Amino acid sequence: MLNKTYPYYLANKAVFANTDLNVTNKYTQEVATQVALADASVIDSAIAAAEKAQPAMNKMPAYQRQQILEHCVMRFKERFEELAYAL
Amino acid sequence: MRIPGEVIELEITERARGYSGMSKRVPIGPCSFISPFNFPLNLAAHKVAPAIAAGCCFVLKPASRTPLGAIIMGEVLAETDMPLGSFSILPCSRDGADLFTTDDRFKLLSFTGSPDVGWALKAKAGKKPVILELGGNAACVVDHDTDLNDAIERIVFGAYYQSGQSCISVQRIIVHESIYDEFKSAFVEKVSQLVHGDPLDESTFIGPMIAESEAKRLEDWIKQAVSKGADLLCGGKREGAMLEATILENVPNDCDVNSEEAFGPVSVLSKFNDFDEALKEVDNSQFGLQAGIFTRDIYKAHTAWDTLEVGGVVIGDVPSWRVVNMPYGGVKESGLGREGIRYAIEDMTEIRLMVLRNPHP
Repeated sequence: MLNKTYPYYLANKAVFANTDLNVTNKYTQEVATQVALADASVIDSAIAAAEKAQPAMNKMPAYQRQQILEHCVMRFKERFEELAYAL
Repeated sequence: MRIPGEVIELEITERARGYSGMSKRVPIGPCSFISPFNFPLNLAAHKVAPAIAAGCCFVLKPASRTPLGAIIMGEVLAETDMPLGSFSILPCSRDGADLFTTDDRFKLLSFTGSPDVGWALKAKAGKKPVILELGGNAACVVDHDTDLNDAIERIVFGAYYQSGQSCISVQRIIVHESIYDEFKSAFVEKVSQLVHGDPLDESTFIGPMIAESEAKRLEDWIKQAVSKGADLLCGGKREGAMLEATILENVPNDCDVNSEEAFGPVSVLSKFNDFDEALKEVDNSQFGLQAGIFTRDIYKAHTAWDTLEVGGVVIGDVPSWRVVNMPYGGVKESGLGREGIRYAIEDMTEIRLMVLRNPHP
């Protein structure tokens, strides 16, 4: 049910940069999947992107922010089983 | 969810004649979020959702041991119209993660995790405000008039849910002496019957701890308590990361399993005869997150609320009780600030005032 690898999200985009982080099944202690790990330079770019995007966030009207949150609620409900498994 | 402002009367002196003020809340700016392993989706959502509601960009560092909930959250957010660059979700190793704390482009740091790490981050955070949601060794008082079946069912859940790996897990249970023996035998029986095993099996209640090292650490605390005279009522054995649901009594105060945060499937029983003394015992802790009080006496409920040094007092249930819109957080070593939708939004916004002069008042 898990993907073989997962990306990190840098500035809204999935980046399959590496497979450096092994995530284990805590019961079997076996590697369950691998996730991309960010280093300091990636974090630095993420902060720069956030700073640059803040004026656009400031201007975003409440109804659009609400739509984003409602989309999240809908998708989490649809992906409930997957999330329950992944956690 | 409303983000309110107010109209403020400014004519407090002659020179302010004709002036009035209005305030609104504006986004504080890019936020740094660090979330813990134990509720991989929920505790990340406690930061991310208010940030979107408030209009803040953010960079989230999920726990390296359980990053998937946050990654899937990233997948879902990437489907939306979030402005380009407004969010990043970056698992990273702790030594590479300093920028989450130190970078001044962040206008807020919100951390949920262990007390040692949290307070150390605050010391390096510079000018930005810091919200710390840390741990505790939560106490639960069971008074003489309690419905025992009800209380035991709730305390079993509060103490052993997620194998006790919750910041508000019941760790210390303080029971009135008149019902202590009855409570003890029923509680031990219930806890001994908890099904241990693979969390993927629906019937499992007690799964592994997050890592074998953590299970060993807590096993050592249990052994230390027993060697200092504590009685082991059930559990205590470990295999790999699996630690049995454990109950101790007669634990000396200075034992780690009493005074530090266990963060595992262990609870400690003690008895009281005077309610005020029980409250003192609740406060006899470096932590102060939430406390649970089972009593039917409204005056005792108020006394507990008035006197306990905690972020929240739960009457008639365990300290582990929480819903998303209540103000949640701790005092003392347990943290700084409150989460909960409205309270997180307040932290992620700041007041901006407009003063308006009417030249012809």
